[in-house]
Amino acid sequence: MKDEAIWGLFVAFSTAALFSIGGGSALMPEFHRQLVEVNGYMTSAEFAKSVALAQIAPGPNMLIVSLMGWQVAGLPGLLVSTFAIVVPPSLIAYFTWRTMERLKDAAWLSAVKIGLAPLVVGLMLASGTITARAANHDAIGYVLTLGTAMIMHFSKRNPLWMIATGAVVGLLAHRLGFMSVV
Amino acid sequence: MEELPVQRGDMRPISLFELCTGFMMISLLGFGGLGASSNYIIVERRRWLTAKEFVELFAICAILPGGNIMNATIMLGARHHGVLGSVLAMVSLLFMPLLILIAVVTTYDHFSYLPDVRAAIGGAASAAAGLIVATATKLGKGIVWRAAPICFATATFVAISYFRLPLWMVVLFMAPPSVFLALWKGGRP
Repeated sequence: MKDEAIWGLFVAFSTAALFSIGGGSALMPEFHRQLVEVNGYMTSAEFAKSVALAQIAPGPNMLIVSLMGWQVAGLPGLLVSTFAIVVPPSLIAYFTWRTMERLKDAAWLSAVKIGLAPLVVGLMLASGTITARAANHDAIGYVLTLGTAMIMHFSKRNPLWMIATGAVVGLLAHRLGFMSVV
Repeated sequence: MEELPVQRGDMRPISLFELCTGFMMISLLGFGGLGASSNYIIVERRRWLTAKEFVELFAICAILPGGNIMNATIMLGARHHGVLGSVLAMVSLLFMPLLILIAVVTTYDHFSYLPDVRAAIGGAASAAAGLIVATATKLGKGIVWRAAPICFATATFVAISYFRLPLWMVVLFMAPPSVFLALWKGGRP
């Protein structure tokens, strides 16, 4: 079962990787389908726990698949899953870069970059509000989100300070009875 | 808001060591996504790229498959040190987070039931959402905001956050007119 699961992880994650336009969070429904519904490698509750754990640890969002690999098949599962999610898109990125270097004087390439830039700002703003809606359960959550956004926009502060502040405020609010724990 | 003093930008050579420590910092400082920490290291601290270069690199990386910052890692690594640069930068980005992930997964069950821990994680998640919003507004500093970019950014925001359309669909309908307009203006912002 284990060898079979490792191969299954590789196939599931490397194909998902190639369709993961826009990064990791867009892939969650697909991961759930593959791991829980199609293959039955983990239960829905175990899946939810992986998602929660991955948010605690720093690093690329995509590493959630490493965690899922770990839960399905231990260290080999983690390594295979990481390889599957990292390597295929990396090859594409590398060859895209080579092509872009060759074409860097082409007017259309700079038009592509200039044209895509506002879309990326809209996308990022959308992902901020979607994340805020999922993370915030009361007014304190929204105050934290807005406060962090304002302070970070107007300063060049290390983002880690804001995360640490958020954690302390969450803890205090809970201790003082302002914030419900979900 | 103050301007960055001297933008060294694109052409400054970056040593392999600097590249690796930079991406290690990006990953270790990146909670709830690497957007904020990569802007902090790449644009604000080490000044590898200007705000404009960063948003344009990010734009290309966002429409390619895979993690946005993982793609940017490959491209910046390749730009400065070829294949070796890409591989080492990626390893630097992944190594520490993977160790931390293993540490967290093997100990989480011992402390996860504590309400204090859950409250702290909840507060950190709210702040992380704010970081993503600020990353968006900072990426916006690299754009000359005329009517067209404002419309395309707003339309993308509404399509994804309100109508919940998948990104590929938004890119498919929004990218061609936006790129065409930029091309029509001769590739100038």
